[in-house]
Amino acid sequence: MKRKIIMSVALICLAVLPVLIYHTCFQSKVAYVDIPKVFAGFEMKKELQLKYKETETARAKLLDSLSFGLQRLSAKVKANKEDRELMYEFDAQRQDFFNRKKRLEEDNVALSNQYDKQILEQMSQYIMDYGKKKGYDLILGTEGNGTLMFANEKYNISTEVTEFINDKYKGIE
Amino acid sequence: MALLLLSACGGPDNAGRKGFSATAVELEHTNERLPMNEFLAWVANDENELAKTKELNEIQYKMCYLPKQTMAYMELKDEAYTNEQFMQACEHYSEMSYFNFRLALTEGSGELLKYGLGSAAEYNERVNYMAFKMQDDIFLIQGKDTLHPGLFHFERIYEVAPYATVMLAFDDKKFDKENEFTIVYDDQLFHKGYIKYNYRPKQLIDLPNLTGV
Repeated sequence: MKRKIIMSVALICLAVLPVLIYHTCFQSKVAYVDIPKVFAGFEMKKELQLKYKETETARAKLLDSLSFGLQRLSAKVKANKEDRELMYEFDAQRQDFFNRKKRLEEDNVALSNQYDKQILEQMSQYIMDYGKKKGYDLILGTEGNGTLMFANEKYNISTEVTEFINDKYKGIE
Repeated sequence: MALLLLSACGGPDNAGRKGFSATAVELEHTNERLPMNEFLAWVANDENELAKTKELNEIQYKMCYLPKQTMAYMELKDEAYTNEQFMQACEHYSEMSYFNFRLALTEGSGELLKYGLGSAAEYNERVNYMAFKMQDDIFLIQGKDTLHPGLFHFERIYEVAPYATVMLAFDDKKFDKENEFTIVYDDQLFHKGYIKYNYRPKQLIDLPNLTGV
């Protein structure tokens, strides 16, 4: 009787062992996220986009007002073609306008790059946190550019990830 | 009373000091009753969510709420004190909500303010920023209201340390402590963007009772 029990246990072990080995070695937990979708749904991106727009608009308004002043001066110059002093003043203001315009455009690009970097940094960190929390071995990012040619939709965790990274960002998670 | 700075997040470093009283002191309203050392540990424990940690690329940002009991204890811990003195100290800290905000290198070595430094001048800029400008970049948001700290202090360390600590406090009269709010740090030190910490309704109120002070 005892021998039978030992044999049965041994047989069960033999049957279960390959399954365990298979699960341990070959059943990695893998999923993918649609990066543009996650990026678009990330609250930080929405907030910083708004903040950027405000800054860009304020700068554009400043340039508009400078441009308006320059146009008025230009009209004066046309009306007083003999006034050399006015001409010099116009040249100086025009130069100043183009310098400022160039600087503000560069500042806009720098600000946009800075925000993008911050967004990507936080997004990547929170996706990593999600992977660790949920026990993933691998989370792939797809951008529709051929880095991931095909994956079954069941492996797409973009919605869950977006929810998680937003909670993380808001300090709720 | 002097504003005390905690080098850590209210850890129970000296809770076994003399003058400890066994008298039950009901300071808040939850069912749990803890002695002082356990109360301090409870507050500092991330699982209880008064202390909240975020890590972003080698930098750890930790915001920790310090109840008035913790503040009172930190003030009195080096001397024998009575229940009455403790209650007076609690009273002193009862009009503001105190938070300890610590930035640290996750690796735990090197000097935080020298992390990713571009130039020597930048180091001084960072020190000045933490001492004088950082308070403008920290704020509490509740609904549509934004509140800046009423108190802010940078704990200057004159040695190599992988962390930097500031203490800040918000005036309780200017926000509803019992309702949800978010503390935001707009990181201008390492430029990581907004770092947010959300506190749920009643989270700062539902604390364990102290069984002794």
